[in-house]
Amino acid sequence: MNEKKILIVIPTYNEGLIIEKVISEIKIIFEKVDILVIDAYSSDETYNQVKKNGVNIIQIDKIFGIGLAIETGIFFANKNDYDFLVRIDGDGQHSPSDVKNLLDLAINKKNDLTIGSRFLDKSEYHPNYLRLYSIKLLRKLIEIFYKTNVTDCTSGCQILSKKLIKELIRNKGFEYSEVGIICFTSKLNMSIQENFVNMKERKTGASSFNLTNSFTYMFKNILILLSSITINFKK
Amino acid sequence: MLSIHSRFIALLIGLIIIFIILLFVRKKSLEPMYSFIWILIGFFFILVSFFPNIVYLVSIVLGIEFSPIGVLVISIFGLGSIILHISTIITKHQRKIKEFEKKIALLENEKSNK
Repeated sequence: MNEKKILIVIPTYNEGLIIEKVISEIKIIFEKVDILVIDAYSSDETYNQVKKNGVNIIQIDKIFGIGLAIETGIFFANKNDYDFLVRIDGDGQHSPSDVKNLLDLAINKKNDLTIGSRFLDKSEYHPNYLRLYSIKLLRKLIEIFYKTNVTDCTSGCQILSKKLIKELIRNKGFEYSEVGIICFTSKLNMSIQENFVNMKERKTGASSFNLTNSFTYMFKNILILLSSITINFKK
Repeated sequence: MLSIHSRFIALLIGLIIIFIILLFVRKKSLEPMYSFIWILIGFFFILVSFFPNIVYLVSIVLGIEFSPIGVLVISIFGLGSIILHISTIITKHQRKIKEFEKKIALLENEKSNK
């Protein structure tokens, strides 16, 4: 296998307690890889911790959400000509060895979008019921409208290929979201594959999800899903 | 029919709206592009003051018996469309701001890595 340029994008917000461990684990498991931390102006030590480890860090304001953070990562990957962009969460919930397996799969099968699913096997991840059912609903909707079967459409572990990144950059109006990118990829008839990724219970920091924004999250995702379809019809 | 008194007031309101909007455009606190819809509203007031029958005609078309309600319906529709217009402008600006944020963040990153 010839050398691929890989970029790992980690969005963080107040993950100062664990980010150092996440970075060092990644550095041990992946030998040659570039890490890019995208921080939402954390109020704790995240910035200094990351800088201390000699890792590239970009700061994006929190009000723009995680979507813009990942978009910046995509922009960066395109600019520096990376072959694969791996997006994982900054809270240490994804185990690096699982992500490594996922990346190998993406490289071998040449998938455009590879998703680390939490539901393909027994994982430690137990979302609240609202979130669980909204994921199921989104899954059904994607299956109906895009003919794509994705078990975990809101996974925070996704691998994007160079081809997909190029398409995203070309599409000016695109706004990143976990569901949006699945719709985008299946609309272009690019390959999507899933593999199991374990998700550990969160140890530190606070999740960006609670009951009230689970509703807005679901609403936003359904809107993204349905609005992409109309564009599909015009073609 | 509207009384002469109310027709005069409608004319006055229309002229005041147009005057204020032109003043705002002159002071550069309103983009000429966005002033268009407001000037249109001013002209509508003036039009009503000269041809008050418009209000009755619209009421009949809408099937409203009590014509003052027709005025309300028209104005609510007008206000609603202005708000929608403003929402689209906000969206456009937000998109632009996001793009800037992205570019500035990358530039700062490049600068700090040099």
